[in-house]
Amino acid sequence: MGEEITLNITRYNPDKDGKYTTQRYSIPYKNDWSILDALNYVKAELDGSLTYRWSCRMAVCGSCGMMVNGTPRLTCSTYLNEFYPKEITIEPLANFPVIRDLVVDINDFMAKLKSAKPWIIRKNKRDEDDTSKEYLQTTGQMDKYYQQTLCINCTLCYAACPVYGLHPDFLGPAVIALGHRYNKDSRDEGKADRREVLASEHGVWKCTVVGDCTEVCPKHVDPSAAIQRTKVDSAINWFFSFLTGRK
Amino acid sequence: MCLLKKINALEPLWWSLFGAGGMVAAFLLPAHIFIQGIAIPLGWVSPDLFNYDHLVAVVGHPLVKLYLFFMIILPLYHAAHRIRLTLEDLRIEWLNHILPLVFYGGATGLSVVTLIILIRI
Amino acid sequence: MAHSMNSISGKTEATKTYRRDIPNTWWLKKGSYFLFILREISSVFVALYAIFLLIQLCALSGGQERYESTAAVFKSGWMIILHVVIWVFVMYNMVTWFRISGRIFGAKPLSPVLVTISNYIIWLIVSIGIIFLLLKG
Repeated sequence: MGEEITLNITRYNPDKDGKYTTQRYSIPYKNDWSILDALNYVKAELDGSLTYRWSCRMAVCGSCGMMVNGTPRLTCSTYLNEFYPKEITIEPLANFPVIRDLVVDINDFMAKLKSAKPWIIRKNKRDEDDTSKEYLQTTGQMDKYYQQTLCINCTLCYAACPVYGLHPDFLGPAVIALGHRYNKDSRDEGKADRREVLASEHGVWKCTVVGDCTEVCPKHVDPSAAIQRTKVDSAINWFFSFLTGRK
Repeated sequence: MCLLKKINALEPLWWSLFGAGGMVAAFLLPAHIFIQGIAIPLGWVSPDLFNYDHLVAVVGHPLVKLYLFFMIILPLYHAAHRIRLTLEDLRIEWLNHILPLVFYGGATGLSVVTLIILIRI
Repeated sequence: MAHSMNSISGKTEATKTYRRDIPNTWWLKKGSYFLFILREISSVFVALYAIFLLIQLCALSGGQERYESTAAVFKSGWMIILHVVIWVFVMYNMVTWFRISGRIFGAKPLSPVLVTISNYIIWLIVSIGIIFLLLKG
């Protein structure tokens, strides 16, 4: 007992002084505390004004992503004991505008996500409403997209991607991975509908395969591979339509 | 600007050439560089292999010419594509608008030069 | 494609968000970013070797005298050192290439490691083949 750990937490309040600063907090060190537990301790015991997002505490909701010592992590599943006795720096997710303290604005991500149409599209629109129809799928067909279904939209990959930081128009890892997920679904017929967005100048072609998106993904979605596979598909489609003159 | 738009629209082509160049660079170049660039100049292997008459005879073969053609031009497109995107990532912004033209144009120009030289040998 | 800040919420009043600048030295801030730039730079050496080959072919087409004076340049000490540097970068380029292609093509039922290892095996066979053909003459 009596052991302490120091947290350096980013503070920003646009309504107060509008200064982007770092505040130090010393808190009791508990071996089994996550970073999120530590933040909750700070808010409950030391400073009620500290603002951050969280919900499920079990790496499912994807809302507690922050930069922990410079790396995007889910704070609910990152533990103090990984760093103790060293200090821990907690910042809002990189590459996003900061709304307040550790909360970032992900509207850009949400709009891009929608643009990639991450849902099953059928050529016959009546199929989409017909709940009585069954679509059988083999495990082999499911394997083709299952990995990307695990995405929880936590946007850690966006914080890890320097290309997104440098070129904010870039569609980004998770959105392309989710577009790819539906393109690879045997029940889906919307590949052509997504192509305009995925294979655009700001889509897959912008990616330079830094690979950090895959490294930080807490759900092992491997967005980097999904993007490269989408490049292969897009290139094949391009040559095909070039040769046949079809769109 | 119109030309630039056209170049950008060919992105799948540039990427495919980049990919093919990456394959050549990964599978073929290490052995060639080691033998031709290091082992022979250092005299580790017989210098006779690279005398003029012998080389002209070898390079004169159409299949060798074809091989050399791709071994030269694909790595050029590989590098052109990579350097162009990297300069964008390094925010050499004032260059951004001419980068595709300079690099893809340069690689294409050198490809034509390679073709002419190979035909003339 | 709509991705302005408020396109979803439809809000018009601007929340004063704080935007962090990315320094031009961003690639020095993280090991993985530095290795990425190193990989990209390796392509410069790939191109350099292609241009060297082109120069040698050009000299070959220009007759014996021109070829031999060019060959002498390529035998000089600093040229050999340069080729060692090129070789190291090309090897690095190869390692990263095989790792990434493992990721792309290593989806089920294959595994990334399997694809990468088979790449290395093919590389070894191809390299031995090239060396054999070059030395056989």
